[in-house]
Amino acid sequence: MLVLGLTPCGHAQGAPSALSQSASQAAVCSGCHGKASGAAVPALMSDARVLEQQMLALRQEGGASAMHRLINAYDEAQIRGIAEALASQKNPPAAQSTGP
Amino acid sequence: MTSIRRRQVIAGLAMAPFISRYPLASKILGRLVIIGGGFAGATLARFAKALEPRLGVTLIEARARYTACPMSNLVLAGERELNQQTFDYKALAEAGVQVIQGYAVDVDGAQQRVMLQGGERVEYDRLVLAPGVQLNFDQLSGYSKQGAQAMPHAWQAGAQTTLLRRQLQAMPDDGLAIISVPPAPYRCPPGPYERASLMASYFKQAKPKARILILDSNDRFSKQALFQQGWRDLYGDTIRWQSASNDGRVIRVEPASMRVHTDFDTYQPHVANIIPPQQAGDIAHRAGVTDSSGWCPVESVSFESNRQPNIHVIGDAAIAAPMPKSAFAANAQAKVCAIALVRLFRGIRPEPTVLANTCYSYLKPGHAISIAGAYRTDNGEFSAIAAASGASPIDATQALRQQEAAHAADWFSAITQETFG
Repeated sequence: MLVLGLTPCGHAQGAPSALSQSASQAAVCSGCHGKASGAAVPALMSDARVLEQQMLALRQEGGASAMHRLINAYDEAQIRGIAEALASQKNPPAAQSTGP
Repeated sequence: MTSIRRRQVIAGLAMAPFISRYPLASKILGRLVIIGGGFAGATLARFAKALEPRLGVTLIEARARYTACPMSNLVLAGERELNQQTFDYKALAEAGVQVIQGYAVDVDGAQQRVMLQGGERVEYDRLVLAPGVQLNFDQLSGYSKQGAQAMPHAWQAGAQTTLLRRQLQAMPDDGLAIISVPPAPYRCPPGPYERASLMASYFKQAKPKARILILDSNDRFSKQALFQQGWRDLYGDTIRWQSASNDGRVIRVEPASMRVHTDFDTYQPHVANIIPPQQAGDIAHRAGVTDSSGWCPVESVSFESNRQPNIHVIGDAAIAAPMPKSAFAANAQAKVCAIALVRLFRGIRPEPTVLANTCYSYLKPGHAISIAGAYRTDNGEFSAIAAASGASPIDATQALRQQEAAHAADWFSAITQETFG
């Protein structure tokens, strides 16, 4: 059973955005996509619409990278939510500068 | 039982000012304590603190510096320095995480506190165990921590990596190196086979007559077709793999005489890389969150132990199969768990999510393959999303293998930056 006394809050809209289901899905991205673009893996610093289009394009391209496989885990609504979560965290918590 | 009462107390945190048995700073939302500062624990500490600055976040880690395993097979091949693998906890401390350098010896779940080796106690409202793996030397007859000086495991990076590297350098030019693979599950499923690849790459340059024998306690392995194709193409017959069904299981070793025994054969290699069976780190057993497998069953949404309330387990120690025990998985689980924890501290129910994993393996320097997977966490379990899971294509161009090596390098930079700063 789930914890007694918890506020029922089944949908992302009710939660602060950094704690939403989309934010949780988007949190995985920063494992590869750092805050600075690397030689091969880009930083995800665009606005939500661009990120969404880029993710949708990955599905069409049929490329052979790991990301071309992983993108198939998400439907269009999830992709949009992830793009919005990424765009709202241009300085995602774990990627914030922590000093010199 | 008492667990319900404790849960009610925690659940009440969001509604009422913090009511605690302990003296607390007035504005604190709750105390989150993490044991283990690897890819799982360090990520969680940093991410949770950034997400909810009102949390008191404490990381307990025995070592002042962490030596990362991913990429350490390149160190064995002489392609990378060990100091490129080491990280400290300064950035975590600067981010507001209280970092305690100490060894956690016990957990009292009823009193919600951790006992440190020096006798100090650290009290928690929620505890995250991220102890990684413990090597079970005693599950392989004849092997021991002492024996690992003659027959290194190099499965926890650091001095063992350097030792194995030196042994490979000192080996005769036509020598034999054995890699013994333990029964699954173990940390980094493709690791032994990447290691064979990079050892062979080193031999090709330095000792072309040297050979590698993989003695495997399993009949199949991660990215098997890709590895075996790569071995044939790059290294001819340098690498031989012997499955469990083909007498590959090592049942006994004699470090003093460098003998390695299977059911029907005895080998005397020049280098014996013996990777022992593994289970969750010791503190998980003391905390009472392991099952008979030696690993920790967890609830899939919050990673809370289904054996002890208010204790969460992430990373290699957790049973999250079909997610593999990898640094990527540990880091991803940590961020998802951090969000779930902050929700719990605020009295909001955590939600299922989609987790992912990617593991890159080098066939030779600058040439890599990958396996990716995505996982649903609803219905109380981790389940692979078939459409998103799979390995690199078998017949790929050199350009793709090179591109995947570039992805691997960027991955390591990004994940270590996110985890350690």
